[in-house]
Amino acid sequence: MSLRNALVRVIEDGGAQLPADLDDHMSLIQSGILDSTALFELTLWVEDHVAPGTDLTTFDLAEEWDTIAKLLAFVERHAQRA
Amino acid sequence: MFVDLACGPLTEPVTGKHWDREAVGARCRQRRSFFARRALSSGDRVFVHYGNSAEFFVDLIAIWSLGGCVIPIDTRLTAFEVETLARAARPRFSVWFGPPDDAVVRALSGLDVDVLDAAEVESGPLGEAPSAGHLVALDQDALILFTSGTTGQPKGVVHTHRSLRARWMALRSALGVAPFRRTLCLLPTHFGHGLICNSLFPWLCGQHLFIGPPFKPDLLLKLGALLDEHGITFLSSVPTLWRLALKTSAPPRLSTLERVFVGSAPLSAHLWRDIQAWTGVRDVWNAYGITETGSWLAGTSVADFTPEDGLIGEPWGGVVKVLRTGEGGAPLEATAECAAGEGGHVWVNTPALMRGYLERDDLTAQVVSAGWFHTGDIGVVDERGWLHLRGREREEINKGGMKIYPADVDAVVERFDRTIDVCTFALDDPLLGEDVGLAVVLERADPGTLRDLHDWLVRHLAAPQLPKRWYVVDEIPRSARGKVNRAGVAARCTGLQSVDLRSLRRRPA
Repeated sequence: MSLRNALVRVIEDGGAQLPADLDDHMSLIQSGILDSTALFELTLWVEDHVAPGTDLTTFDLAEEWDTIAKLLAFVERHAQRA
Repeated sequence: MFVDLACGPLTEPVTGKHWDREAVGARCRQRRSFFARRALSSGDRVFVHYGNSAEFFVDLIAIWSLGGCVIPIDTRLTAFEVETLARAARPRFSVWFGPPDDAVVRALSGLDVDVLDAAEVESGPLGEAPSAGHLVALDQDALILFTSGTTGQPKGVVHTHRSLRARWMALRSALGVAPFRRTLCLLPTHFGHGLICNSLFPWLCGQHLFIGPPFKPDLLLKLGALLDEHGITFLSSVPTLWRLALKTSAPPRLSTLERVFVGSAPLSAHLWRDIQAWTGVRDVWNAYGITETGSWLAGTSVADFTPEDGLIGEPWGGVVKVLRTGEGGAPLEATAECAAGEGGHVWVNTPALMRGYLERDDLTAQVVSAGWFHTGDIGVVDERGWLHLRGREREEINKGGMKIYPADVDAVVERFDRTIDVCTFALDDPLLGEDVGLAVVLERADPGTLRDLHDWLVRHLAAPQLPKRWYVVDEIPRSARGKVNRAGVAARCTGLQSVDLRSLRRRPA
């Protein structure tokens, strides 16, 4: 399974209702699609995919995690430091 | 009506709306005129279909000042659930802020309910001369909070002005008001913790209330900055809020927080210490409250405590006893009291006790005995007189502080035409503590049936009640008397493959 598909699956497993024609640039957080449960599931998933010790509280996550494309870029950027 | 005879200012951090005391007073008078023109009068019950906004609070005061009884409605309820509540409560008005939901209006159409849009008042004149206050009968019903039964037999907790005032006076006496001078509420205002205590207690004591939408992810991601920006001195919360915020939000930098409450769900010692570290506040208190007792009735307002799993502390404005009996109906015997360290049933005696359950004297009699309220919790009082909770005996799923009653979900699944048997149970959840699981026996378990069942549940259950995991099983084991062991069913489902709900949830393109 690709990283993108795994990410989408985590968000849906968190209870978020994503449209069938999901656009990777669609707002997830600021639009309200992601509720706190889905965001928590997402946080656990991101923690598993970034370098150990990455302190998520130092980022503006409402901005950096707002779309599938931004989330994938975030994971790629911070995994590379491992 | 007011504890200090003056409401405090209101601010909405998200919208930037700010009403000082004078503006709040003027808005209350304006909206009182609005409701009076629509002939709202003493004893009328009013469904209020919005919350967590400045308008909600001034409308609540306006309705109270005319003698009405406010029934806050969770905006996530389905039309079916609102109709079920309306049949039980017989409201005279259904008040919205903005256009009403068509499906709900249709559901209420045969019940002689006047539907009002309170947003219309925005175009009217503000109130004129300050009023000297209004006489409100203390024993008149003020608030009805539905805690369960939205799909069948609603259980509505009825509080009078006397019981609410007793709660606020008790809190003021035990806790003071100074730490609450800039209070943030991010909890829903349709349940007791968020409304009666986090919001109304400080606000009606003249303190500044900052009110935001509940559990909004982008707010929680910036919780530390939000606290700094508004100089927040107090907030109450649930463990779920902290599990997310501690992982994703930078802590506050300005040290304005003085006190933090955590309630409505079990607080572990580990999370407790993490909250203390993140907030920089030692006074992080585990608050114990029940809607029937006006919410917060005890907490960790004790000296030199160390966070412990289940530690509550001392009662605020009442007496808490741990008794060997959980049976109501007869006066409590002193001999029934547990010794220090001995576990038993938690009972409470408080002037803040509800008047009873709406039109359900049978249910009231099950939990109230000679003025004592049987909480349904299991606890122990230690040698210092501090209460510790050890579990609960009532059947409920505590989903991040929101109580979901399995029977409510069962009732809806049972009415699906291809259901043979059903059992709703608690799932362990890393964020919420517990979530909703469903074991169901169906005539057929083909994709079409599953989709139809999904659509049926979405139409009849509010989103928080929807099961997170479904398990299609061959049978639900029951005792000889037909009773189901929900924990046993949950254990049996643990090793099974759950239904893939993602394809059922996905919205069409």
